[in-house]
Amino acid sequence: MRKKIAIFLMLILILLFFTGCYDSKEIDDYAYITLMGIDKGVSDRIRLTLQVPEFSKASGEGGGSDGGQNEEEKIDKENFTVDATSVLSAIANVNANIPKILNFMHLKAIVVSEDMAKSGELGEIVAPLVRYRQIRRNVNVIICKGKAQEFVKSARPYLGGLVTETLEDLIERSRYTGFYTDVSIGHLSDEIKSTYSQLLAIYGAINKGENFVEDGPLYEGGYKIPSDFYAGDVPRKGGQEIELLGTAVFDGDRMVGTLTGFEAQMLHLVWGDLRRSVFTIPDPEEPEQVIPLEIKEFEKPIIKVDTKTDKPHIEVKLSMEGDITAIPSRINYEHYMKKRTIEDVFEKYLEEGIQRTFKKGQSLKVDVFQFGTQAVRNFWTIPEWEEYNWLEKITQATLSVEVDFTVRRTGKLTESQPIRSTEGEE
Amino acid sequence: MMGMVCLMLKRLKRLFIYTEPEHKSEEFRFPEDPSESSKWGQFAGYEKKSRDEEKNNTNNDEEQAVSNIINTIKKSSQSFDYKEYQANQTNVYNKLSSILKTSQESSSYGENQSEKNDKNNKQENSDNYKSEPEDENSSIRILRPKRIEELVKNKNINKDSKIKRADEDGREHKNSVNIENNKKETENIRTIDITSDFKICESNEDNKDAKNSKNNKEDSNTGEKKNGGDAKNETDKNKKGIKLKYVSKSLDENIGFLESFYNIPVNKDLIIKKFNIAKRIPACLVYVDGMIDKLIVTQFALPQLMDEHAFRHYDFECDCPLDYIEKNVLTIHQMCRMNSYEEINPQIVSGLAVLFIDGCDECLVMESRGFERRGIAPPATETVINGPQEGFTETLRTNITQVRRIVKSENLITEFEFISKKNNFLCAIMYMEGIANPRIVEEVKRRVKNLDVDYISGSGMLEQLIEDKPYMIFPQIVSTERPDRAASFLMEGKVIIICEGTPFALAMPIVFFDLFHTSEESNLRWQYATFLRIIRLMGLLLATFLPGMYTALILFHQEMIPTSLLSSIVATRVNVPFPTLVEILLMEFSFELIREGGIRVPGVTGNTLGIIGALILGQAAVEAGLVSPILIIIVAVSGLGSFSIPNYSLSLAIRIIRISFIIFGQIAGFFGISVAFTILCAFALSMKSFGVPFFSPVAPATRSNADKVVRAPYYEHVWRPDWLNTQDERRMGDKARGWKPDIGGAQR
Repeated sequence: MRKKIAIFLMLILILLFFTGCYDSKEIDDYAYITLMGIDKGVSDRIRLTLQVPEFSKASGEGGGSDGGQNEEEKIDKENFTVDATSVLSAIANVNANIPKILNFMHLKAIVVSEDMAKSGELGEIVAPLVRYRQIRRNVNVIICKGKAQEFVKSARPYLGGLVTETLEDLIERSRYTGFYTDVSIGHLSDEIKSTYSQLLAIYGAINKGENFVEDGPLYEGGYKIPSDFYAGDVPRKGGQEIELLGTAVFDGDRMVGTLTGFEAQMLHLVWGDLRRSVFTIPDPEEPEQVIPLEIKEFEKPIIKVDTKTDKPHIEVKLSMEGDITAIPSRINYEHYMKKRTIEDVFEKYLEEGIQRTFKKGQSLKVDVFQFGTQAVRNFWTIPEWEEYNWLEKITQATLSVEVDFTVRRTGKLTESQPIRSTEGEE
Repeated sequence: MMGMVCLMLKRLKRLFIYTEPEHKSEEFRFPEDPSESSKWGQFAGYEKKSRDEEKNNTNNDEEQAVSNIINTIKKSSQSFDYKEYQANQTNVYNKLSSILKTSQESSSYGENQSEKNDKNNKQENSDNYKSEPEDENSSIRILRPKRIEELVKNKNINKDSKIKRADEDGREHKNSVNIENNKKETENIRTIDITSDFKICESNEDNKDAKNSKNNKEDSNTGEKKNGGDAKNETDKNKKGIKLKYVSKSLDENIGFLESFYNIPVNKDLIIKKFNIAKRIPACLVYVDGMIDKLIVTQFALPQLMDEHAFRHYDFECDCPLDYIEKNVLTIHQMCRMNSYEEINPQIVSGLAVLFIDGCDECLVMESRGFERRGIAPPATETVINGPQEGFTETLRTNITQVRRIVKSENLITEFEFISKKNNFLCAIMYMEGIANPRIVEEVKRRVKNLDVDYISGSGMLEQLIEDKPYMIFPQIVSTERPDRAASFLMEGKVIIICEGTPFALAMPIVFFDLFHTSEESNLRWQYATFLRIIRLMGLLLATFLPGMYTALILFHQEMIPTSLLSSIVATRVNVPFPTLVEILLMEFSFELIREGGIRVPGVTGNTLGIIGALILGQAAVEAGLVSPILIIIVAVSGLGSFSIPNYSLSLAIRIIRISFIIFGQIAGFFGISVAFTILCAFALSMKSFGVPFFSPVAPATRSNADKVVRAPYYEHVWRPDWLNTQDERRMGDKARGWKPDIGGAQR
C-alpha cells in the first residue's frame, strides 16, 4: 500500500514536471482587449484599433482619474491602432511593444466602419474571426458611422466601471427600447450565408452634439415620431459620446442601408421580443398634444406567410395592451367610451409604422422583418425552398398588418379634468 | 452411630465436592432474586436472625451445633481421608509430610493430623475448606438441595438432643483447638487471641504451599524451599520472585507475590494494607492509591472487618471467613470472589480493592473505584442549540449510564473487553439485541478481541486499529461526544464502542451521511433541519472546491470570469509578486496555522489569536502586497466551510483534499479538478466501513428515508438503514401518527 502511494505521488510529481501547466498563465500576464475597431487600412489592408483598458483599482472606483494621470494620456495609452493584413497578424505586431499577452477572451464588441461594411468586406475580415478560439460567438458587431478608430477611442466607461459593462448594459437596454438588435458575430457568420434571413447589425455613431442647437427659433411644428433618427443625429449634448441607435441592414455581407430607431422598434414589435416600452402617439382630438403609452405584448404576434404565388403575402397580427401614462390635453380618454379612440389611433400608428419599415426594407431589397424564418416553414424540402429564392421574392411581397390594442389601465388617475383658473376652465 | 452419620456425610460431601466446578464462588453471592433469598432465610436463617436478634441464644446454639457437627465430621473423616489418599497421592503426601515436619519444628505444633487432613481435603478441592460450616451446608444444599434439606430437617427435629451433642462435640473440638493453641479452656471462639491466629495461619500457609506446589508442578522443588523460608523471612520470597497463578492460602505468600509482582518497595502506588479481621485473622487489603474511593475503604470495609462484634456469629474454626464476610460483614454494593491472579491483577490496577484473607485461597474483589473524575459537561466539540446539553466524560461507567439512560431497554447489551495487554484498557461494546445485525456485532467483537497491542489510551487509537482501510482519507468510524447521538446510532442498529478515558463513543459501521448529520437536526422541525443541511452542504462543497476552482479559473479559464470581476482580480493581483499557487498555498498554510495555533494557545488568548490572525495578518498581508484580497476571501470562505462540517475527522480530510484540488487545478485547470474529483469519487465509492459502502444510501441506491440532505418530517423516517441489514427493519408502525386517521404513517 505504501508503495502504491509512493508511486501515485511520484506520478503526480512527474505530471507536474513534464505535462501540466504549459498553458497556465497568471491572470495578470494577459492584457485583455475589450473593444476592437476595424477600418480600411492605409498602409495595409485593415487598420485595427484595440482598446486595452488598464485594470486598476481606479477603474472600479474613481472613474478614470488615477493618480493624476491625464484622461487624454490614458485614452492614448489604452487605445492603439495598427495597420495589418489580418486581425491576428495585427495582434502579433502589437505585441512587439506590449509586454503582456493580448487576448480576446473578454472582447465585448467588434466595431466595423460603415465604409468597410458597405464595401462588402465583412464576410472576409470579420466573419472568419468566429473560428478563433478566444473570440466568443456572442461578441457584438457594431457598424459605426465614420471611423471605427474614433468610435473605439470614444467608447469610454460611463459612470465608472469598464467599457464592457457600459456596452453590455447599453445593448441590454434594447430589450426595452428596441432601438437596435443584439447582433453577435455568431449571427453575422450565420446570416451572411442564410437563405431566409439577412444580416442586421447595431448601428452606432459618435455624437458630439453637432445636432444640438443651443439657441434658435423655438419649435413650432406638429407631432414628431420619437426616436425616428439615425445614430449620431439625435439632438443631444453631453453624456456618452458614442450612440447606438437604429440598425444597419445588410444584403449578404454588404451593408445597404440603415433603419432609424423607430423602425428598429417596429422590427422588435413584430418579432415579439420587445418588453415593456413607451410609445408616444399624437392626441386624436388636439393634434399638438401627445399621449405617451406604456405598452407591452398581450399575445405573441401571429405571422402568416403565403408563398403559393410568386408574390408572397404576409399577414401580421399583433395584440398589445398598455397603460395611459399621461394625457396632457386633459380630455377624458379614461372614459370607456373614449378609450376606443386612443386604441384606434395607436393601432393605426403601429400599422403604418410597420408598413413603412417594410416598404423601406423592400426598397433596400432586404427582408428586414426576417419573415423568411416563417416562410421557410411552408416548404417541405430545402431544395424547394432554395428554388423559391425568398430573398428575391421579398421585394414583391405584400404585407397586411392587423394590430389589436387595448388600454388596460389609466395610470394613477381615473378621470381627466380641466384646469380651472380665474379665466374659467381651460 | 455418630460415626456412621459422619461417614455418610463425608461421602456425600466428597461426592458433591468432586462434581462441583472449580470456581464456584460466584454462585454463593447474595441471591438477587427475592424468592431465592427467602429460601436462604429458610436454610440459613440464623444469619438473618442473628443479625436481628443478637441475644438469641438458641440461634447461637443452633449455629454452634451445626458447626460442631461438621467439625466432628471432619475429625472422623480425617483419618478416613488420610488413609484413602495416602495410597493415591503418595508423592504429594511425602512432600506434605516433609513440609509439616518443618512447620512443626518452627511452630511447635502438636497436632499435625488435622492439618494434614485439611491438606488432603484441599487437594480434593479448595472450595470445600475455605467455606465455613454453614457455607458447607449451603453449598451442599445448593448442589443437592433435597437430601441436605432432609439432613437439616433431621437435625432440626432432633434439636434438643443434637444441641446437647453439639455442645459436647463443640467442647471436644474447642478443647482440641485450645490445646493446640494455648490450651485455654474457653467456651467462646471469639476469645481466641491473635497469637493463636498467627499460628493457625502459619500452618495454613504450609497447606497453601502444598497446593501451590501442586498447581505449579514445575516449581515444586523451589516451592519446598520456599516453604522452608516462608516461616523465616518474607523478603527471601521476593528475591526469588514467586509466581502464583492462583491465590494462595497463605497470606504472606500472596503478599510476597504481590510485592514482587508490583515491585512494591520501588513502586509506591500499590498499597497493601495489612490488618486483622476481628483482631484475629490476618488479612490485607490491596489497592492502588488514588484509584479507589477512600471512603469505601475507610468507612465501609476496614471498620467492619476489624470489628470483632461483626464476627460474633462467626465460627473461627472455619478456615476461611470469606463467605461470611461477603454475606454478613461488608456493606459494599458490588463484590466478587476471584482466585486467579490473571483476573485479579487487572482489577487491582483498575481501582478495585482486593481483600486477601489468610487461609482463603480466594480473594474478595470489591468495587471501590473512586478516582478523581470530571463531571458531566456540555459537549465541547458537538455543540447544538436545540437538544440535550450533556456530553460523555472520561469515565466509562458514567458514559454507559448516559447511553442507558436514553435507551432504557433490556435489549441494550453491554459487553466489556480488555483491549490492550499492558495497560489493561477496558472498552464497552454496546449494541441492541434484536436490532443490530449479529454479523456486524460479531465482526466488531472479532476485531476488538484480536488486538495484540500493549498500549491503548483512547478511542482514537482503537479506531485506527479496527478500521477497514487505514490509508483512506475519509474516516470509517464516527466518534461522537453526545450520548443522544450514540443512542440514536444504537437504535439504528449500529455498534457502539466506548473506551474508558475518552469522552467519545465510536459508532460503526457508518456512511458519509453519518458524518454529515448532527444530532440537532432530529430535534428540529424538518424545514429548519433541511435548511441547515443545505447550508452545510454548501459549506462542504465550498471547503472542498473553492480554492481549487479559483486556481483553475485564474490560471486557465480567464474567459469564464465576468470582465468586471476579472478587472478587480487583476487590479488587486498587479502588486502581488507570487504566482497564484504560491499565494494560495501561503494563505492556506497561514490559515491552518491560525487554526492550529488557536487550538494550542492557552484558554482566553485563543480568541485574541483568532482576531490577530484573521484580521491583522490578513490586512497586513494585503497591504504589503503579498496576497490579493480576493484570495483572502476565498481562503476565509473555504475555511468557514470546513468549520461547518460537523465531524472533526471529515473536516480534516476535506482540508487535505482541498489542497490536492488546488494542486490539480494548478496542473490542469478544470480538467485537473475533474480528474481529481474522479479519483476522489473512485476512492470514496469503493471504500467500505465494516462491509458497508461509504456512500451507501446513494451510491448503491438502497431503500432509505428522506433523510440525506433534505429531511422529511420525522414520521416518515420509517426504515432503519437498509445497508445495515438490521433484524428489525422498521422503526415505526404503519401509522406513526396514530391520531391522524388518514395520513401520517408511511405507506408501505
